[in-house]
Amino acid sequence: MELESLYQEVIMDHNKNPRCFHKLSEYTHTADGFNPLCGDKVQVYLLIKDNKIVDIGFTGVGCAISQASASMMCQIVKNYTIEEILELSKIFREGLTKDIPIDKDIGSLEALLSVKKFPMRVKCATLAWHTLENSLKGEKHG
Amino acid sequence: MSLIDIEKDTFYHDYPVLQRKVQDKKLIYLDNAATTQKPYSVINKIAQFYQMQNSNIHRSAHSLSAECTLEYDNARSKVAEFLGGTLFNEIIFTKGCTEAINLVSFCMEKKIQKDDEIWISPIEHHANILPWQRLCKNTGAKLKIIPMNDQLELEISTFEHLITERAKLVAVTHISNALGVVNPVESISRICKKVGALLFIDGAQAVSHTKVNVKEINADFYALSGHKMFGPTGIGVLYAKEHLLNEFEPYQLGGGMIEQVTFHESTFAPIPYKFEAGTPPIAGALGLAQAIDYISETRYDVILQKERLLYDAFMEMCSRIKEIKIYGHKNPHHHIPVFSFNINRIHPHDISTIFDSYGIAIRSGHHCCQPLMQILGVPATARISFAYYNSISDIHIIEEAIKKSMEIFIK
Repeated sequence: MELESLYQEVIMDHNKNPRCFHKLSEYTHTADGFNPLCGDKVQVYLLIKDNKIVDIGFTGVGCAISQASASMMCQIVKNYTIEEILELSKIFREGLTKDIPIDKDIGSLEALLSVKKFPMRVKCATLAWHTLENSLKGEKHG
Repeated sequence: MSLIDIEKDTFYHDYPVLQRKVQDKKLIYLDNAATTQKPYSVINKIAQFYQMQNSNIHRSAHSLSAECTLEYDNARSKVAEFLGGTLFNEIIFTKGCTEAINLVSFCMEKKIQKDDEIWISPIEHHANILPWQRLCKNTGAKLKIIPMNDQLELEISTFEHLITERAKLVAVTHISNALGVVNPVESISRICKKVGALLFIDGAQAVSHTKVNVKEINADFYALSGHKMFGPTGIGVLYAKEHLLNEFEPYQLGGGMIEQVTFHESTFAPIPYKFEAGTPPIAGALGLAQAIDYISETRYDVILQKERLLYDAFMEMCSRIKEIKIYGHKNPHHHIPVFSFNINRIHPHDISTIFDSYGIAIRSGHHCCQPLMQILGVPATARISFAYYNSISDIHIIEEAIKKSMEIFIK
C-alpha cells in the first residue's frame, strides 16, 4: 500500500526522534522557511568554516514529512562543501518533481522519494532544502 | 415527525461528483466548508445557458440579450426573496463573499474617522479581517476584538459592556468555517442598534445550513458565496440596506454602471447596477438562482434534520476515541457539523493524507483563520465539514481512517 511507503520506518523514526533538532549556539548562516499553505515552519542554522559545514541544526514545527526531511538533511550534509550541498539539493528536489531516474547515490534520502506519489506533500519534503539553500545566500553571525 | 428515512437517504444521487472514486475508493467528500458540490440541476442550468442563451445583458435589442437580461434580473429577485424578502435594489452580485466584504470596507472609508472603532470576532476568516484591518490603517480607526469564552463561543454580555458609541461597524461571521459555531447574530444586531453601529454579517458558511432572514436579523450588510451553497464559483451576493447603497460611491467603474459619460464628467446608474461594473458573471447568477431552487425543493427542515443526525453520529463515534480533541462544540445546539480536531500530536497534514487513502476529502491547515489558531495554540487543525448529502455510513469509514492514523503514528 502506498501509504506504508510514505510513512515507512526510517521516516517515522526521524519524525519521532529528529536529529540535530536544536539551534546552534554559534552559527554563520541561518534562514527561516515557511509554507503558508499549511503552516509548516523550519529554521536552519549552519556553522561554515573554510567552505565546509562544520555543524548544522534545525528547529520548527510541521508534519511528519517536513520534520523527517529536515532531520535527514541535517544528518547527511555535515562535512559537505557548499558546492556538494547545492548539488545534492538539486538532485533530491528534481527526484521529487521530475520524471527522471536518479543515477547518483543519495543514501537515506531515497526513502523520501516515495513522497513523489503524493504530489500535495512534495513541498513538505522540500521545505528544509529550500531553507538550507536560502541560508547559504545570506550570512549571519550568531 | 422524522423527515428522513435513513434507509432511503439518497441525496448524494443528485451530485455527479459524489458517484466517482478517489484512490480506488468511493469519494467521501467532507470539505464542504471549503466548497460544496453541485447538483445536476445547477450544472445543467449553466451548460444550457452557454449552449442556448449566451449573450450579454442590458446592452442589446436582440432577443437573446432580452432573454438573458430577464433571467439575470429574475436571479436577483430570487436572491432577494431567499434572504427574507429584501428589495431587488438591495442585492448586488459580486464574485464572491470576499469581494462583497472588500466592497463594503472600501465604501465605508468615507464614513470612518480617526479613533472610531470597528469590531470583529476572534473566529473570523481572513476575508473578514484583512479588509477591516486596512480600513483602520487608512483612517486611524481602531480594530477591536469581541471577547470569547473558553468554550470558544462569543461572550455577548461582556461585548455589550465594552462596546460604545465610538463603534461604527461590527463585522462578524454568521457561522464559523473553522469551529462550526453559530454566532448569536440577533443579539449582536440588538447591541449594534443600541450604540448606532452598522452590522456586517459574513454568511458564507451559513446559507447551506440554515434559513437566513436578513430583515429579521436586521443586518445592514449580509454577504454570501454561491459555491458554498451548491452553486457555481465566481458568484456571490452582497445584501445592503438601500439607503447605504445610495450613499456609497461606486466601488468599481466601467461599463454597465453609468448613466451619462463625457470625457470630464460622468453620472452613475441607480442601484443595484451602480455596483456592478463590467459584464457580470451571468452564468454564475443563473446557476446561483438554480441552487436556490434546489435548496427550496430539498427544504431547510430536511437539511437541518439530516445534519443533526450526522452531528450526533459523528460525536458519538468520537466519544469512543480518547485521542481525538475537538475544538469547541460544548453546546451541540449552538453548532453545525463542522469540526476542527486533532488526533494526539499527529500533524493535520498527515491525518489528511491518511484520510485521503480511504477516499475521504478533509481540510488540514489554518482554515484562513491564523489568529484563531494562535488562540487555540496550534499551528493547524484537521477539519471535517459535513453537508446534508453525506451519509451516516461514511462515519464508519472515518472511524477506520482515524484508527489507521493512530496505528501509524501512535505505536
